[in-house]
This record gives sequence, C-alpha cells and structure tokens, in this order.
Amino acid sequence: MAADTISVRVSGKGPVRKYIAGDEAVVPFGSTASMLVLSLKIPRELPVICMKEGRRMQPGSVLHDGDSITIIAMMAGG
Amino acid sequence: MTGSAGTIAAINLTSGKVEILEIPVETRRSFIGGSGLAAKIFWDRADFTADPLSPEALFILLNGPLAGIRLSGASRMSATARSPLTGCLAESSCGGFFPPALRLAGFDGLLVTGKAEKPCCLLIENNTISIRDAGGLWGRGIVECTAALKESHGKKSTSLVIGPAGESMVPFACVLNEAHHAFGRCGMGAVMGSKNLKAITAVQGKAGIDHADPVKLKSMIKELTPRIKEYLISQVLHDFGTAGNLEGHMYSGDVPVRNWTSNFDEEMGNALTGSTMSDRFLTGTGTCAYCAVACKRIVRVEEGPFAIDEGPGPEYETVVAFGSLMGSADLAAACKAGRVCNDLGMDTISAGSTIAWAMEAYERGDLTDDHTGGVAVRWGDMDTVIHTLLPAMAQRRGLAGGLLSMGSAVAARAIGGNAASYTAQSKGLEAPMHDPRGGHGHALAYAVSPRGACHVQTAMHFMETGACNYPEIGFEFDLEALTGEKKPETMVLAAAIGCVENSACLCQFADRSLTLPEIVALINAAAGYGYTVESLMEAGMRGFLLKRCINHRYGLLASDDILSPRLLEPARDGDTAGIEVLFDEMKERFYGLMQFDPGKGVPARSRLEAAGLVEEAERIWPRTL
Repeated sequence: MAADTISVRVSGKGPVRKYIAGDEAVVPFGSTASMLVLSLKIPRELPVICMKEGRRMQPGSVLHDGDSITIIAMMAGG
Repeated sequence: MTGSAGTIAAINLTSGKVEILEIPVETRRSFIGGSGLAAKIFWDRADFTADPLSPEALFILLNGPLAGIRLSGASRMSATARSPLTGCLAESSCGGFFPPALRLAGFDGLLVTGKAEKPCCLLIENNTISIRDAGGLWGRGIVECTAALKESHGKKSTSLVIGPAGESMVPFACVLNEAHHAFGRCGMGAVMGSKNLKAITAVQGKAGIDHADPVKLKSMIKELTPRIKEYLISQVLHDFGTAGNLEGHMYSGDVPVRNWTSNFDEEMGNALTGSTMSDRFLTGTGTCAYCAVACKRIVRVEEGPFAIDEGPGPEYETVVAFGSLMGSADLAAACKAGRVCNDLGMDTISAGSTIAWAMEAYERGDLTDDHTGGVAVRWGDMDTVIHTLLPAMAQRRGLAGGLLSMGSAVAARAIGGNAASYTAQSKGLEAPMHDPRGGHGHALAYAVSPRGACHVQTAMHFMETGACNYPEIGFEFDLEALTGEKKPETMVLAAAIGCVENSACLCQFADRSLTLPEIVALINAAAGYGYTVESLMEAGMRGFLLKRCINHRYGLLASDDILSPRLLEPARDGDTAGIEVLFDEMKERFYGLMQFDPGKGVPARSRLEAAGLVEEAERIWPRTL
C-alpha cells in the first residue's frame, strides 16, 4: 500500500527563510511544488519559485519522497 | 502654486536670465509630469544638432504631480537631457529630499541651458532663483561639497551635487542628493559639469501646495501609509535593503558573474546578499523624504583594507557591479567602492560594468599594459579598482583612466578586435545587474527602452518576476521567466506603466503595493487631472512613444534596438544554462503590436496621431507632395 505522505527536504533563500521552520516538510503524496509553497504559508505577495537539483520546477511539478527543494523569492532589487 | 507641475523655471547660465515657462495645463495632463512631461519640453525646445555637453544642450529637472505629499515613495523626480554616454535621450530618476524641497521653495522644475563663465551653483529659496559663485566648491568631492552647502544654507536646505567626475565630464558621471541618492544613469553629472554647474540647492520654504482635493488626498495618504509599510516586500527592503534577495536571485540566473560569463556563484551570492550586509556592516537605515519603508543602508566597515566610516551603504546594483560582476565576493570592498563612486560622482553600474569588461579584456589579452599604462586589471583585484582605477577614471587621468572613463562601448571600439562582443550594453548604456537570460522579458525591455539597457524605464522587471498584477488592464499573466512567451504583450503594458511611474515620479519599490486605480486617485486628488485608468495608461504610452521619436531624431533606427552579443549568449551554468533567448521573435512581435516601423523603429503615423502626437507625427512622417 502506498504511503499517504512523502517527506521532502526544504531550504529557503533570502526572505523565504523565515517561512521554513525546519529542514523537512511532510506533504500529501502527489503534492506539487505550488502545494508545497502553500503548505509553508508563504504569502502570495512574495512570488517564489521552487528549485530542484539546481533547476527551477514548474508549479505543477509533482514532488517525490526524498526530493531536496530550494525555494527562492523572485523579488529583485536595485 | 497648484498640485500639478506648473511652475518651471528656465535658467540660462550664459546670460544669467531666469524666466518662468508657461506649460498649458492640457499639456501637463497629457504627459503627467516627471519624465513624460520633460520629454515633451525636450521635444519642443531641444536643438537636436547640439552636442550633449554644449551650452545649447538642455538639462531638465522635473517633479511629478505628487511631489511634496507626505506619502512613501512620492519623493522622487526626473532628470532629462541628451546623454553624453549614448547620444540619445537620457532620463534618470532620483529619490531623496530634493523633490519636496524644490516644490516647497516654489518650483516644480528647472530647465537649465547655457554655460556659466565660472563654476557656479543655483540657490532656490522663497520663490526665487539666484546664480552663485561656486569657485570654492569646484574640485571637491560630493561629501565635502554637500556638507559645505548644508552649512552655508542651513538644515532646511538640500543639494544636488556633482563630483570630480562631473567636472571632468565623464560621460557616466552622476548627480547626488545628500551624498546618498543618485541620478545615477546616463551622465547627468557630465551635463551639469559642462555648464559649470557644481550644485543646485533648494531651501525648503513655506510655498503652499494647492491640491485639487486635499481632503481626499489626506484620507488616501492616511489609508495607504500603513499598508505600504506593512507590505511584505517593503519589510524585506527595510530589513535587508535592495540587495535583500541577492542570494535567492543567484539561483534564478538573475545575477551576473564575471562580466556576464556566468550567472551562478553560490559563494558570491551568500557573501554579498543583504542579510550578510545587515549582519556584518549595517548600523542603521536611511530613507527618502516621508518614506516609511527606509530601504537605504547605513554601514560601517570597521577594519581591513576597505574600512569606511559610518555612512551610506550600497544598493543591490552597486553590490553586484563591484562584487560578482568583477569576480569578487568581498562585500566590504563593494561598500567601499560604492562610497568612492558616490564621492567622485560616478554611476556605479556603468563604472563597475566598464571595469568588469576591462578585466575580461585584460585576461583575454585584448587589453594590454600598453593600453592601461602598466596597470594590471585582474578579476577581483578590488584594491586596484578602488585605489587606482576609480580615481583615475573620475579625473580622466592616465591611460587606464582615460580609456575606461569613456564607458565600455566606446572603450571597446577604441581597443578594437573582438572586444565589443563582450560588452554588456544596449545603445551604449551598460546593462543593470539583472541578467536577461534569467528573465527573457528583460532582453526585450533593455533593447527597446529609450535610454538603453534599463530595467526601471519600463515595468517589465517587476511584471516578469510576478511582483505586480494589474487586472484592470488585463495583466494577470503568470509569466514563465525563461521563455519569450507573452513577453511582447507584457512589454506593451510595461512600457506604458513604466512611463506612468516615472512621470508621476513614484518609487518602484515603495509603491509596489499600489493598484493602478489608487495611483489614478492619488494624481487626481493632487492635480485634478480627471484621469481614468485608461486615460492614465494612454498618457504613459504617449510619453513612451514620444521618447522613441526623440531618439529617432538623433538618428536611432530599429537596428539600434539590440543587445550586445554577450547578453544573448546562452548561459553556461546554473538554472538557465543552455537556454536560448529568442530575442528576434520577441522584438518582431513587439514591433507589430506597437505598430513600429521595422526600419525606423518609430510608430506609424496613424499610431502617433491616435496617441495625440500629431505635430510629432508630422515631423517623423512628413507628408511629401
């Protein structure tokens, strides 16, 4: 029987750091990158993207158990 | 006075004559104020054969209709001239304290022509303008000069000042207010220097501002102020400055490394980012007038070769230009370089980019000791950058200083060979520190922006990164950064919105949370222009189109809407590696949407006439019988 949840490693850069309590997130099986962002309660006004193995993910990309995800904000300065 | 930009003084420094320009209210309404109205004044009055540094050249400083109101992000103004760096229309925006002070001294704008016989400065106080001798200030750095003017004219005075670079007419010399806020781009400092104009001081007086609907305006300011302050992006800017997300954007391919040969270096991202600056050097925050965001950095570097006293800290652009772009992860050096550039009066983007280009040229052997007079220009050698190159460039001294003070595009032509291919510029203006390979819309924006490679003359930068949404005009795109899809359509809107922001003279950071209807309501309450969202967007587009027409009169064509090859080479590493920017397709689609002539690069006659630019259309497209 398949597990109901998966565990992914999560890190945040810059202003995203404050929304990531630990280094692991447990999300329902079949969750996408955008669902992970929602689960972390990152506000909509801070646009973010998820990166996996150095490449950005599409919001609808499905997560897998053990994935290592880096979340970065898309606000750029200066 | 009225809430609109109505009182503009024309000052001829050759004759010493000061007149008040009469600008009809309908013209002001048609172009909003700031950069849009300045473009109209420029079009009507410029001698298009005049050299940018000649007495005949115009230098226009102009407030927007919101100047003087106590709202975060409303204390900005626009400078307009012909750029000595690019030869085309120059505009630059600056925050700080001068805009409200100028208005409260009785003026909304200045049009400066001529050339003073001796170094001079302007004093604006109690609705009068006087031309003063500045012999004692000439040759002094901006910090010292600013302090001297403050001492002479009191605490309520504030000054725009040029440094030695402006005096030497370095084509990317800038103008600073309070030694911290810059008209950075396009060489406004050189234009002032060419007129022997060292400084402009405004003493904040009690000139009233007669707003169209003061009750509504006051109510809006009360409502919007806490919202702007509490907006998440405002909080990040306050806590970490404009470099607050540098480390994050290093992953998205936005941050150039080693003269744009790379756009990923994790170590540099971590070393240079805003939180590192806060942890290591931050001693306080600074602000423009009436702003609750306070994104400016106050820093002190206590020890080491780049120690500096407490004072203004660098913005994102400066950190990257004097950090990763030069192959340096030394944040203290970037802080020091920014401070040195500010005192000398040089744009950190153009100065840093030109040096980074020289570092690559030196490594390749295209730039040799014969060109530099024996100065080795090596990656990451910040000691040479700060102590040798920057002072030499500001004074156009020695071979290295003389060559690099011309900017990267001209310097590359001077040394010849393949050197131009790895400059990073459009129309001769060095690109800001946002890599178009990390956001393909930037490529289009840089190419078609009237002043050259620029991320703030249009709103593409914020629209592509998802930092804003404009449902009232149909912009609810969820843009994918690494494609050209929907970018031309976005660019059409971004051109108009950018001109609205720079004409209303709103801060693109502090006012990120404002909706278009709120901007309309603010301007209407201040100036009584009766805009709708639609008519405000039309006014923004009118300004953008007019700027394109001005450039055409300087001989620019569609073939000038390009990027230097380096900016379009597929990235070599990081998230964006190997992805091609489909620039030509984006440009062709944008030209079609804008009804731009594929040869001239200006709108069709019918498009100009539809925008209300009837006289301009006749000039660009004369009827021949």
